[in-house]
Amino acid sequence: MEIQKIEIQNKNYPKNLKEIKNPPKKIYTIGNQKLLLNQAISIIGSRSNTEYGKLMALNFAKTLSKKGYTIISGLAKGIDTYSHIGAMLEKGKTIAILPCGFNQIYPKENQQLYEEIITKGGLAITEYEPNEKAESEKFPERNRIVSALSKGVLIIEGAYRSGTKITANHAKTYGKPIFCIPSNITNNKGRTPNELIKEGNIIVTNEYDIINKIQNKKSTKTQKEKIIKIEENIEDEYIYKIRTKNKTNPKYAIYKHIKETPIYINDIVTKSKKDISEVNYELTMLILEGYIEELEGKTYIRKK
Amino acid sequence: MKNQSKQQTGKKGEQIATEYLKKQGYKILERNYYTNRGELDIIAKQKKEIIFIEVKTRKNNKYGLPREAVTKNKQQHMYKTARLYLYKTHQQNAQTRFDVIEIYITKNKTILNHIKQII
Amino acid sequence: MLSIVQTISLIGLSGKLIEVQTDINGGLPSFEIVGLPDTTVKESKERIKSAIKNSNIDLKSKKILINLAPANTKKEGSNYDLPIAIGILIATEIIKNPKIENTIFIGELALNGKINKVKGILPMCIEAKRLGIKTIYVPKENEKEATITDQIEIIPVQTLKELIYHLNKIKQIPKSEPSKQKTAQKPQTNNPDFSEVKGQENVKRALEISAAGSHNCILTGSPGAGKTMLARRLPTILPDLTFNEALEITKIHSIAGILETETGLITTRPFRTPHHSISSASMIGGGKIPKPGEITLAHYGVLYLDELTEFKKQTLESLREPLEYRQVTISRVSASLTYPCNFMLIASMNPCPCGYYKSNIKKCTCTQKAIKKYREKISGPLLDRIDIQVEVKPVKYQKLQSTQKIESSQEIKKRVNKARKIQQNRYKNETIICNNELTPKLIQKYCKLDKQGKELLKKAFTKLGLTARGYTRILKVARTIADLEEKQNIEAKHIAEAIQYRIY
Repeated sequence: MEIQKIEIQNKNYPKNLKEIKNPPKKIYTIGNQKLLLNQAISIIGSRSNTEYGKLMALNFAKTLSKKGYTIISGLAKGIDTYSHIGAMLEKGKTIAILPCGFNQIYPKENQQLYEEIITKGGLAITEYEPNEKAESEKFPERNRIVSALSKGVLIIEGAYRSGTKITANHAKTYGKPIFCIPSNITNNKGRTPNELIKEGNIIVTNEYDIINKIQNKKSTKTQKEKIIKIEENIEDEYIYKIRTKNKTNPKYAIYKHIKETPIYINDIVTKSKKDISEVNYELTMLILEGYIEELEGKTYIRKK
Repeated sequence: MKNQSKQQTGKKGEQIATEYLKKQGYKILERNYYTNRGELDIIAKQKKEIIFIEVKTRKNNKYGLPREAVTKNKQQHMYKTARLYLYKTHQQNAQTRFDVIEIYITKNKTILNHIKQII
Repeated sequence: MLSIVQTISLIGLSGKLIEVQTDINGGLPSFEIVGLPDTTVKESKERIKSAIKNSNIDLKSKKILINLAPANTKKEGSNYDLPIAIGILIATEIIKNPKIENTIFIGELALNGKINKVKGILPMCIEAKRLGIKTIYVPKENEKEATITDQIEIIPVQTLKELIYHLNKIKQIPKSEPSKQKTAQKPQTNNPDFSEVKGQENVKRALEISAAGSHNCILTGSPGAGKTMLARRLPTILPDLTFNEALEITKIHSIAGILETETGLITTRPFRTPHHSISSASMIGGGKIPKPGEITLAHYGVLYLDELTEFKKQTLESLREPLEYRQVTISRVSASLTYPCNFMLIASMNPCPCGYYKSNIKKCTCTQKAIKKYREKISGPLLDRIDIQVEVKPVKYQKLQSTQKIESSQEIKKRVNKARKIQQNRYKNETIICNNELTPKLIQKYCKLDKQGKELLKKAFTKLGLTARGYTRILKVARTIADLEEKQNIEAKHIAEAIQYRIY
C-alpha cells in the first residue's frame, strides 16, 4: 500500500488540524483517505482496561460507526484497540493516529490490527517518518491530533491522574466536548471518567448522548432514557468478518481443498493438481497467516 | 625268499639301488653314512650335484607305497645328517638334492622307482 | 646370484614400492622369506614351489632367501607370490636378462602355475603410476580393473609359464588396451525407479531436494509406509559420477575385496544398508588390518540406516566425526590410516516404539513417556547433521489405482544435475562443493534473503518456535530449492517450502 504525504499547504490537509496551535507540517496517511471528510469521534481510554471498559469501547465504537461516524483512536493496547475493532465492523470505519512511523508500528502486537485497518477501509495517519520509532515524547504529540481531528472525545476508562485525563484536558483546549462513560466508583480504572463528570463534562449512557450534542440537537425523552444496546460477541464478529474475511478468498489456490476434516498433504497435491513444491509453499503461508492448522502426520484443517 | 628278514630285504634293495646309480653315471661317495643325527643310505654325486638318497624296499603294497615311508620326520633326519656331512667334507655350498629310490621285489620282477628332489 | 624384482603394497588407499630381493646359494635346500611377512606371505613358499614345478621348470634344490624391503613394514596378502617367483627364476637364471626397470609384478599363484587375481589392483596401479612405475604385470582376471589406470603399460598374465616365455622374449604377451571408460558410463537400466512409486509426492520432493544439495534426510513413518522402498530409489536420482569419483569408489571396493572381476569402473553410486546390529568397527572401519567400513563403502553414495533407534548408541556416536570431516582416521599400533567417507546419510525411524503413533491403520500402544524416551534416542549432534525430515504415510488404495503419469527418476535426475552444477560453479573458489557443506560464514555470503524472505522467516520463528540451528538448516535447504528452480536469489517461497521439511 502506498504512503501518501499531505503537506500543510496541500488542499487535502484536514482543516480542523490546520486550525490548532502548532499543527504538524506534514502528515503521512495510508489507507482510505476519504475518511478525512467524514465526521469523526475519538475514543480514548486506559491501556489496561477492565471487561466493562472493553465492552463499552466495542459497543460504542460499533454503534457510532453504524451511524456513520468514523472512530479515531491511537492504536494503543486496551481501549484504543477495542475502539478500532468495533468501528471496523460498520460503515464509519476507523482512523488510527500513530506515535511512530508506518514501518515501526507501536505497539508491535497491533501490527496485524494496523494492517487490517489500512486494507479493509480504514485509515492510518502519522506525522512521523516511516522508520521513526515510538518514543515517549511522541505520545502527547499524537494525542493532540486525536483530539483535533474529531468532533468530540469519548473517555471510557482511565486510572487516577492517568494519561487519558491529560489528553482529555488538551481536548478541552481545542474546544471539543468531552463525553464520559461512568464507572463503578470502586473501579480503579473508572476514576478518570468519573472525575471528568464531576468537573462538568457530559455523562453518557447511549450513543444519542454523543450524537445529539455534536449535531446540536435536543434528545428526545426515549433517547435520554436509553441504555446503549450491548452486543456480547463483537470481538468474535470482528475475527470472523474482518480477520478471517479473506478466508473465503485467499490468494492460495489450495485453500479451498482444506476444510474442517483433516486432509493429508499428498491428497492436497492430487486434488489441487498443483506441484508438491507449490503446495509446500502455500501450506507454510496459510499456516503462518493463520488460515489453517497443521495436525500430526502432515494433515491440515481450517482454523476456526 | 620267504625266509628273508626285513634287514636282508633292505640290504638287497640297497644293493640294487647302488647298481642302478652306477649305471646312471652317478659316483657313489658313501654308503650307510651314520651320524648321531641319523643316517643316509647312499650319498652319490652326479656332475657337481651331491645327492642324498634314501632307499626303501618293499615286497608288497600292504603297508602303503614305499616312498610314503619317508616321513617328514625321516626327511628332517636326512636333512640334518646331510648338513653334517657337508660340514665335515667342507662342501657347505655344494648343489644338493634329496632323492628316494623305491624298490619293489616280487616273485617275478624287480621294479625300481627313482624319485628325485623330494625336498 | 642376487635378483631384485619390484612390487607394491597398499596401506589403505596409498601405496609403497616393495623390493623383492632374492639370493640363491648352494647348500642344503631351504626357502626363507624375511621382511615381516604375514602368514599368507609365509605360506606362499609352497604355492611358489608347486607353481614353478608345474610350469615344467626343473628348479634344482637351492638355498633360497627372499628379503622384502623395506624390512621394517609388515607385508600382507597373496600378491607377493608372483614377484617372489619371478625373483627366484631370475636369480637362478631361468629367466635371462629380463627388462624390468620401472616394472612391478602383482599376482597370486595357484599350484598349477596359474596366476590368480588379487584385491586392490586398481589402487595399486594408480599408486604405482604415481610412484614412477611404467609397466605393471597383473593377473589376467584383474585386467579390466587395472586398465582403468591410464598412461601406464598393463600386461595381463594368465600363467607363470606364459610370463617366463614373455620375459625370455620367446613369446610376447600383448599389452592391454587402455580402458575406454574415461567418463563413468551410463549405469544399468534395471534399477528401481521413481516412476514405480505412486503417490508419496512429499517424500519424493524431499528426496529430490536432498539429492540436489546432498542434504542428510530422515524419514519417519509407521512400518510398511514405504520408507525403505523410497530410500532405495534415491541413488537413481543422484547425479552421475565424475570419472574421479568413480575411480575412488572402485579403488575402495577393490581394497575391500568386493569388486567383481567383470566390472571395470564402478559407475553407480553405492547404496549401503548396514543392519542395525552392526558394530562400530564395521561401521567406520577397523579390524586388525584396518579395512574400510560401511561409511567408506558408501563414499560418494548413500548410507541408509533403517530403524535408526535400533542402532547401538556407540555406533551412532562414532558417526559424528566422519559426518563432520568426511574422512575417518583409524589408528593401529602399526599405522594410522585415513579413509574417505563423503556420503549422504538417510535414516528411517518409526514415530514411536510400536510404530503406529497417530497412524490411521492401527492404534498406538505406547505411553507418552515411552514415546518421549524413544525420540530422545537420537542424539542432538547426530540430528544436527540432518537437514530434512519428512513423514511417510502408506498410500491409500485409490491412489495406488490411479493411472496418472508419474515422473521417472531420469526426469528428476535432470533437475538434480542442473542444481548440482549450479552449486559446483558457485563454490568453485571455496572448499565446499554442495549446499549441505555450507558453514554459517558461507551461509551469510551465499544465502542472502530479500525483505519478504526475512519477514517470512521472522514470522516462522515466532509462530513455529524455530531455533538458531533450525535457522541455518532452513537457509541451506532453501538455497537448494532455489537452485532447483535455477533462481539466483532465495525467494520467500523457497523458504516457505524449506519450512515444510524442518526437523521437528
